[in-house]
This record gives sequence, structure tokens and C-alpha cells, in this order.
Amino acid sequence: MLTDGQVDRFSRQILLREVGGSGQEELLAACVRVERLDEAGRALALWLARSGIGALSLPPDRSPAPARDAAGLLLASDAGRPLVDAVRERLSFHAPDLAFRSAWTVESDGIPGGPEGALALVRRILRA
Amino acid sequence: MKALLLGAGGLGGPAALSLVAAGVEVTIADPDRVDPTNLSRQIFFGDADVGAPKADTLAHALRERFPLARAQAIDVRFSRDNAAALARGFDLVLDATDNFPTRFLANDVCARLGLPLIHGAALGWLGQVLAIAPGRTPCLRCVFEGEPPVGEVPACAQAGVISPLVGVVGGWMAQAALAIVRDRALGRWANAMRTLDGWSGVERWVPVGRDPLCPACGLAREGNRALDREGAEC
Ligand SMILES: [Zn+2]
Repeated sequence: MLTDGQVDRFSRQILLREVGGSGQEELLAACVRVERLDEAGRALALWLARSGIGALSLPPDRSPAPARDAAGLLLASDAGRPLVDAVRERLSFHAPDLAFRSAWTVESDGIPGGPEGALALVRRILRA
Repeated sequence: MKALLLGAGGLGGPAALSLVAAGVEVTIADPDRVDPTNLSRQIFFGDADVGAPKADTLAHALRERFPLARAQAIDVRFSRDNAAALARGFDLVLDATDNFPTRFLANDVCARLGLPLIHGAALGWLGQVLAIAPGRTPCLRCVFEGEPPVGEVPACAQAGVISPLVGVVGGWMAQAALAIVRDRALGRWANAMRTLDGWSGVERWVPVGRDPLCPACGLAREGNRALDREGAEC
């Protein structure tokens, strides 16, 4: 069951016939694998989080975070931090209840990065 | 290069991000405050921002990401009283608002001032972007004739929108804007409207043409100042 807060937050998606309350619950129950934390992968993760995907499986990439993130996820102050740490922290701004798991339920291979990829995955989950 | 962005919401956020990342100076106009129902798709607002002014919050978020970003906020509504004064002095306008009166007002004012305008819209699963170079490419009234009657086309609050669609459309708006102001070449944007059906995943470039009798940008315009007196209610 969706909480009152979730109904508010996702109301514009729930209004869609193809989503509804049950579709939003399916999105919240999904765990999507994000294969890379490059710019396209960060934008994909951001838009999945905003869409109400409940959990993400992120690669343990501890390379230094860039000073500029055109994906809009990282802040300038994240420069040099271990990438996966910074990504997880910033994703929680986009979705405070987002979970991080190692096992995923939805594969994202062959999916583009960015909002285009998030849209394709949301569609795939709702059509399943 | 200075852009005026109307709307700091779902489309405006991603469009502003791409523009400031490309070094474009952006002035964001939005009179609204962050609402909890915005949070599923307006990516620069968090739970703690509910109730805060959108334009200012977006400008701040852009500077947190790009400290050298030139982003200003004005919390005014673009209306018949201030539209021409607001738009003057910019190199182009991006319309990321969500209502027909403002869209057609932006169209008519930009046509009159000769300013390029990027129109973007996302509703339900459908998104569209039209790049308008006045006198060279079709304007909103060439393509859509005029505003639909009030209530005929539902707004986001009634019809809903799928979240990531606004990210795609906002990004396209920035691409079109950069094609005009940076590359000075419209390319495919010159004679087609780019559309996406998010449910089928089908993207199209829909051919559009100028209407010589268009009251906003056509040949008849010079002799027809009616719009200046009694255009769209806003
Ligand atoms: Zn026209």
C-alpha cells in the first residue's frame, strides 16, 4: 500500500491510466541495476530515483568524483570523493526512501543513460 | 549569451542545467513555490524545499553544481503587462511553462521582438519541442493556430505526466536553444517539431510549415495589430 506521502509525491504519475496506484507500487518494488556511474549512468540513476523506483543496485566504483557533473546529480563540493559514496548521498536528496541493494530485479543492459533510459525502464516495468 | 527561461519546474530544471553547463547565462522566471506533488519530477527541489520559491531554489542548485554558473532568479509571472519588458535584452526565450495562455503570449511577444523561442511541453506520456526563429521558421500559431478552449486540453494536475519524460523534453529544449544561440544553425529544428510518445517509445520529427496568414509571424502581421490589443488573456 502506498503511504499518504507517496500518493502526494507521485500523484502526477498515479493519474496516468498506465500507472495508477498499482503501477506506482510496482515501480517502488523494483530494484534496477545501474551498470556504470559515468555521467549517463548518474543521470539514469537520478531519474529512476525521481520516478519512484524503490531500489538501485550500483557498482562499487570508488574512483574520484568529478568536479563538474552535467548529469546534475553531484555537487561541485563532491569533487574527489569516492564516486559511489557521493552518488548514494546525492540520490537520497532525490528520493529520501531509496534503498541500495546488491541484488537487482530489473536489468538495464541495452538501455541508454539519462532520462531516456529511465523512461524506457519505467515503461518496461509497467508493461511487464 | 543570455537566455530567459520561463518556468523553473519539470522542464525548466533540466533545460537550465544543460544551458549553464554550456556557459549560457540564464535568468529564471517563475512565481511559484515548491509543492510536494512537484517532487516526482522537478529534480532540483528536495523535501526540505517545499514552500520555497522555485526560481531562487533552482538558481541556487545550479550554482552548487557549477560555481561559475550565471543563473539569476526572478519570482514574477510572465504576463501581458510585463512580457515585452521582461524579454527585451535576451538572446532567446525558453518556454517551460505549463499553460496555453502563457505559451501563446510568449510566442506573440517573441515574434514581435524578433527573439528566438524554444517551446517545450510534456503531458501524460507525450512530449514536444518546437524551436522558433521569428520570420524564418513556423511559430506556435502557425502550427497550432491558437489556444484550445479552456478545459478542452487537461493540465498536468488533471492528466498527470510520467516523470522522466520531462527530463527528456527539458534536455531537447536546451539542445534546440544551443543550436540557435551557439551554433547559429537550426538543422532539423528548422522545419520540424520533435515529439516523443513515452509509452510506445516512438520519437518523431513532425514536419511543420509557416502559415503566411499567421497573425503572429506571417505576412499579414504587419497590417494586423489586433494581437497587441486583444491577444490571449493571461
Ligand atoms: Zn506564425
